[in-house]
Amino acid sequence: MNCPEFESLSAYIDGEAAPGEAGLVKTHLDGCARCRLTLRTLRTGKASLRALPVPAMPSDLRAVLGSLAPRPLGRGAQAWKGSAPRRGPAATPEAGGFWRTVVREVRAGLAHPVSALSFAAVASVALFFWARGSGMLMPRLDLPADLLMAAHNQYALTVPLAPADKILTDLPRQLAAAGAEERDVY
Amino acid sequence: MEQSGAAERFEEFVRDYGERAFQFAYRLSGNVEEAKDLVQEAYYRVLRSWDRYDASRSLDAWFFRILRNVFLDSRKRYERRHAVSLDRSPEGVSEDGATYGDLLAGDEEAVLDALERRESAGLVRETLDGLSHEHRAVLTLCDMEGLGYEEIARVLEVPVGTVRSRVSRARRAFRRRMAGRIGARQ
Repeated sequence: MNCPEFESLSAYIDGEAAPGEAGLVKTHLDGCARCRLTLRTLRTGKASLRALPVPAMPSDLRAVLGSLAPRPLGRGAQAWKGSAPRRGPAATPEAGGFWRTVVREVRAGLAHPVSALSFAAVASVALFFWARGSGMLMPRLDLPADLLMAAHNQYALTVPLAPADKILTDLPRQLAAAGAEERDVY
Repeated sequence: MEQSGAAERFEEFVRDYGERAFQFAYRLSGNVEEAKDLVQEAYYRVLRSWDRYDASRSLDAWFFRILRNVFLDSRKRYERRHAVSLDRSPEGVSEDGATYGDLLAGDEEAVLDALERRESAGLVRETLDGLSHEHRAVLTLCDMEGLGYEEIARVLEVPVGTVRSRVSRARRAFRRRMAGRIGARQ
């Protein structure tokens, strides 16, 4: 008796055998106890794998994934600016010039209240440094503003705010338990 | 606003796929902590490549491909660090189905008997963990996630024929390994 290939039996239990192939397997099974045994083992193995218990998704993982969601402003938001999955080639720049695009984007950004507040904050900081540089405020610093900003950035990036052993690996969960979100404290 | 829309879409994505992602990762790794790490890494990759996702293609296939790649990458990193290969095969036997024959009838009955026992879950899990990463991935996709061959082909980015033969070889390897574990005569 010419038994079908193991691969045919395997595809048959998945419903993936070609129509002619499936018919041949089915006919063969009627007369072959050995292949019926193999088929039964394959089906039972498949069902056993399917039935393997899986624990529920841990709540701390759910909280971590939730914290990955992009925010309108803040860390990581720039990566999401205008980011729906693209449905085709990237849009080409609008004809009419670079500055028209800049003005349009600024107006669109300022339409959002949080964007407007942030713009006001940045403008205030810029005004402060201009005032200091012009001598309107005391004490007078001789360092240029961009050097001060660079020093601040360097400090922020290289000096941790807390020792390593104070860093909470489950910070999102603890904040959620306290009724807060990361954007409330950053 | 566009950014808050992107946040909502991502939160929806976390809600819809989070549980499935964790289940898939757990089925691949067999370990809660590793599954959590895999899911987090996968979501970070999703965030980084969200703009490149072509919405005309299957979101399932895209996301499961990312998860599978994260799993395989983690295995490669482990192997590099520990100078070992995690691609375990039965001793002296290749998992390539072409190099060894199928089970004897007595072994087949023993495997079926083991699978039909109520307490078979532990044995099934151990057997699965002993397979190569590729075999484990394809059985997870086919038998545990219930994906069809075409969907698996999209996830693995291989032809359907390759999926069919890979599933068949994985099942051969699974049966051989189980027969070895239960001490069936070969």
